[in-house]
Amino acid sequence: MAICAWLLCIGMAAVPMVRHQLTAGLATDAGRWPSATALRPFPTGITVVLAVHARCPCAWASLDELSQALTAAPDLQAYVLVGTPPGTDPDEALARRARRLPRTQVVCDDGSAAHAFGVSTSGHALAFDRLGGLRFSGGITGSRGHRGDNAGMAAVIALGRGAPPGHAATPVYGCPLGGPDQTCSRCAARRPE
Amino acid sequence: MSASDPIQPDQAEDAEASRLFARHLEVLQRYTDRIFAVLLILQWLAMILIALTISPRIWAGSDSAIHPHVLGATLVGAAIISLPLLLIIRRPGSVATRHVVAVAQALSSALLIHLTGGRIETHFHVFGSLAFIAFYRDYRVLITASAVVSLDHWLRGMWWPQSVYGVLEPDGWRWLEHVGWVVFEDAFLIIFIRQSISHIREISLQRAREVSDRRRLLAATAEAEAAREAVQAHAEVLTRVNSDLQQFAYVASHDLKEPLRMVVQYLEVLDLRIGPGLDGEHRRYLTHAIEGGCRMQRLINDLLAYTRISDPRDAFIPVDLNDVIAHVRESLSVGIAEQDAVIEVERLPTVVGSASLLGLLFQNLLANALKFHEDRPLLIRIACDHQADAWRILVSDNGIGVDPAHYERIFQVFQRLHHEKRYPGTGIGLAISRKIVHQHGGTIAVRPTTGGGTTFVISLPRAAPASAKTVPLPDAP
Repeated sequence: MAICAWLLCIGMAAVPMVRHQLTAGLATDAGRWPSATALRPFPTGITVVLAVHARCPCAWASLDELSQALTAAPDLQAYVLVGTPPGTDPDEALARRARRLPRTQVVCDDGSAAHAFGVSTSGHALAFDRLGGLRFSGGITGSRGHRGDNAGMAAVIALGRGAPPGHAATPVYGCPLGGPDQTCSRCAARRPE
Repeated sequence: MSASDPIQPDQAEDAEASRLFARHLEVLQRYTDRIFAVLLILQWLAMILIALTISPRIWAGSDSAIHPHVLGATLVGAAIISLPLLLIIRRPGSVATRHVVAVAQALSSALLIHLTGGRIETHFHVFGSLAFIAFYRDYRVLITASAVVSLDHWLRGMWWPQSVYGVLEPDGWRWLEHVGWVVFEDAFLIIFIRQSISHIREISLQRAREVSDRRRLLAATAEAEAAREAVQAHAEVLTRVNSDLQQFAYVASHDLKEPLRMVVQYLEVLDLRIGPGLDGEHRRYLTHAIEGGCRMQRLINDLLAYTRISDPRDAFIPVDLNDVIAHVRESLSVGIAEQDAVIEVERLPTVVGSASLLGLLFQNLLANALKFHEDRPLLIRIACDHQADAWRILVSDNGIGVDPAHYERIFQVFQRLHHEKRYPGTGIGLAISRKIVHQHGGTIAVRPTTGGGTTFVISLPRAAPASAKTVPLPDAP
């Protein structure tokens, strides 16, 4: 009886943690490549736009998954929009990790780029064809901060290899990005024209 | 065997070995409990640290809060270690405690794997945990831990595979692959546990044997001590009785001497005064009475000599046997000349003893040789050889010899093999000789001489007997 009560306590204590882990964020998008941004789709292959929150711990898993996708599919190219909250250094560890990704441009985002693409959750990846048509929208991790095979990454890799994606949309697991008013002044200064 | 039968030594040994084995195992398992108490707490702290490092906060724009992983590591971790710690404190060494510890350790692995995002490297914590659990030397605890790990992988594989395998859709048998590796390690750990248990049993049995041997030794020592005390008590009684007897014999002999001397003297006076006037028959009666009295005087004198040997008055000193023999030859010179005897003496050693007693010993032996011989020329030889710890002196003659049937009898007091008319004597000489040899810690025996005759073999210790007062060792001649 005591052991059953003990196991029950452990289970109950674990519920909030598991619930958080499996709760997806908002998965909105603009539908196609926005005109209100200086960024442009790469002229060949598939362009992946990944928005991450610079301090969100789950973002590391998203970057790792993107790294695997870029390695697996050479036709993939990426923009990583690093949203940086006010008062923090935009050139921190996550941005440095993103810069090491192949065929990737890192953008210090004050929130306007993410807003233009219509995404509001860290870890949201969008895959566009060279004409700006949206081919995939969703997360590329299976849950918050968990690495490993998942439907989102499989879809991006499939697109990069010229194959149809298994899923056009997947849940996004990550922290809310916040609006342009919640970004730092240094990011605003670096905003691409 | 009924319940009232005494426990046999082997059974007692087995029972002691079982007790020692159980005790040893209990100590080991209590010690392992303590190790796990420390390990569980350290793991809990490590998990909180990992959560704080990997995912300290969740963010919403510029707002942040404590990450649920930090709370989970703290609260779930605390819940996991609470019951095992309680049991380790309250019931250390019990079966239930170690099973709960095993479950807690497996759950710690599950939580750690979750906190690190299902990293495959974190699964090594499971294998390390199993190795630690094997410290209990109880394969059932290992099975409990393995069952929890298997159940966790199976359930999470069904409902939330990415948290344990890092993939969203593993094939249905993925959990079996993980369990297979756990079983693989379990096989080796169970072999280790069996060998360890066998080793502990051997050590317990060996210690039980040592305890049993020590007890037997103590019992034997106690018995030997009791026997020694009994022998000592008997020896004291015998010494006292012997002393009383010697005193009695001495006093009796001494007190008999004077009246006997008067009887003999007055008989001799009568023989002198009226003897010539008596007829032949009465004269013979008087002569027999005088001879009987004289013989009794000799017996009493010999008896007194025998009793004195039991209490040597002079201390033992180094005695040169060559000098002793020379004195004996001198005192027996008349008899030697009468018998025309030839005496050959080898170089003899110096021994520790009483010069007077040793003189008496050799005088008795030589006198016997002079007395008991036939018509052929008498040859007496005194030889010596040495053994490891004794001198062996051989006194041989070519006399009439001794029937082997009487080899023991001739050393008894007043035992004679021949009629006094033929070979006069009291029959106490060899008894005195043996007593002297025994006083010197040696032995005396008799054997035939080649070609006829008697050889007395005397062994005297090279070191002085324990009763001796002075003990310098003599050199070889």
